[in-house]
Amino acid sequence: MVWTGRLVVIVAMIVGILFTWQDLLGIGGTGGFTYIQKYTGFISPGVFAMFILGMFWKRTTGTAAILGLITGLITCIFFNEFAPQVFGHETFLYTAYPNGHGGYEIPFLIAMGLSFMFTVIVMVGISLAGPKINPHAFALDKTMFKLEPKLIVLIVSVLLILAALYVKFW
Amino acid sequence: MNNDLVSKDYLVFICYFLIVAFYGYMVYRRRKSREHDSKAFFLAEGSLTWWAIGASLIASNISAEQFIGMSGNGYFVGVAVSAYEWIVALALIIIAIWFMPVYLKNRIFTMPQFLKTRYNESVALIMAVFWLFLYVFVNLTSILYLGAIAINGLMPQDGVHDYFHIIMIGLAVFSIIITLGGMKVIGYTDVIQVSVLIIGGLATSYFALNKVGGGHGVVAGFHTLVTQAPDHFHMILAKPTPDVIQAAQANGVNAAQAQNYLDKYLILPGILMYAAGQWIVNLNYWGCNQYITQRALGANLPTARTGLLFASFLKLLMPVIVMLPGIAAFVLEKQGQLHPLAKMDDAYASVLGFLPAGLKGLSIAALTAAIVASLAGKANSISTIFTLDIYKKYIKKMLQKKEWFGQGAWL
Repeated sequence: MVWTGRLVVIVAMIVGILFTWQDLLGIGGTGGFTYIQKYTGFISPGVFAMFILGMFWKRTTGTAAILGLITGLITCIFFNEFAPQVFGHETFLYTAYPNGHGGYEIPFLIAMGLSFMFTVIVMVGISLAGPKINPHAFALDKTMFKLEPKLIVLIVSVLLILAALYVKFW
Repeated sequence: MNNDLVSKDYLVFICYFLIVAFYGYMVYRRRKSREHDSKAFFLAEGSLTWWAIGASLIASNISAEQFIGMSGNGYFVGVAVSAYEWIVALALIIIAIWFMPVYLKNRIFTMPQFLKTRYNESVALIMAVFWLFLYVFVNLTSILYLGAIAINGLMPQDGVHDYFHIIMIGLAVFSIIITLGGMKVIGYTDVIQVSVLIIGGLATSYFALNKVGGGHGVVAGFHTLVTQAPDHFHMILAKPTPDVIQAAQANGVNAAQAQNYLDKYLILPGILMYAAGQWIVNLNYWGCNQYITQRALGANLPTARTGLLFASFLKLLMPVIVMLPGIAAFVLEKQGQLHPLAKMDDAYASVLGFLPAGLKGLSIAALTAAIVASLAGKANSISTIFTLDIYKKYIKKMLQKKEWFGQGAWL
């Protein structure tokens, strides 16, 4: 076990270097920060939908979670890489813009939102077909969301500062 | 720009590493004799106060790639990239009010535990595979790239030697050694590392702004930034008009400028990114992640909530150190005080060049240590996920089954 772990560290690092050596993944052109956000964004819509429905909707089933993760990944790849060629540049869901390399792209933060929407629809549909009472559901009650006055003061101050920042730099 | 490192810088650089390594080793030895598990120790001490929770949230989030990458985007687009910090402030409020009580009430402390309790083993396996791919092909690669770019940018430039690949190998080897030998030691040095990174970040912003303002202080420097780069101070980029799209595609004089704007909008799509994208990114990172739940473990709900709100305040300040140096680099380049940058991610290293001797060495040391710590942290996670969630549960079992059948055949 320990040796497997050590071997994985070395192999992972070698793979990392091989892909970065000539910047095969194109991190330089995209910008490191955008690269991290964009490709993390390939899985986060599915993951987030799975988490949030699991926490707050008792009927969400395990099957819905699995299909949600897969739907999230597939729709995200689709909207980021293929949607503009298939459905065109201007639809009621999105606008795609020329990316300077001959193709059209949907801004990835918008593709993530679309992917999230479709994932939630799929997960809700599958869960509704499942059992009405889910033994895995989390305990929830309204009293646990109550806030102390001290916390409300803190929250309002953060909101005011944030509002000021956005007004200043709109 | 003065890119030369003087002997004072080298001295500080070496001292920093020796001190951090020595400190980590001492704490490691002292704790080992008393309590084996650092987390158990931490909890047993009952030191989970609201400020400790808030500070450790920020500490586990702050990283070298964030400084380098976000400054790159600050240089290219401007203040709009701060959404990644400021929306976190709101996300943390949402998590404090609605997510935290659900986790605490249902006694959920880790992410795999969430997946198994609420769903099943298959969901946990899919997630393990997702995380592995993400960590290897997105995180490891980009940290290697950004780290090598930044440190290469700080080397004396003679136009002949390019240290990019040597530095990349160096960072990788260094972090492999740490992952294999002293992961526990590096865990204890977090506090110094993050403090130096923040102080170094503040100093970098200070000297960069001072330089922009012609030596008249940071306030003057900030005003110069706003007047000389007004387009860099908009949170909400306007949606590109059909004219801009057309101009980008035509071979006119404005084509490059129009495409430049489209590129910015593709990264930070104005008001529309606040419809869903920014929320998914930040609620997912801060609310559906072990970081948050583990930090709140052992604390009661009001303390955990106050800790999250403290972190939310700190997040409002982050753009000053992670984004502002990028805008400063843009203006300094425009003023002719910086050589034109080849890539946006060169911005942070270029601004470090304005630090005085000694402090420059310290900043480079802190940055190098942070890059290595990031790489080691990711390598450690990759190894843990693979061995515990995939190898131990699935591959080992399969191999054992095969062995058993094999023996059966022999008999």
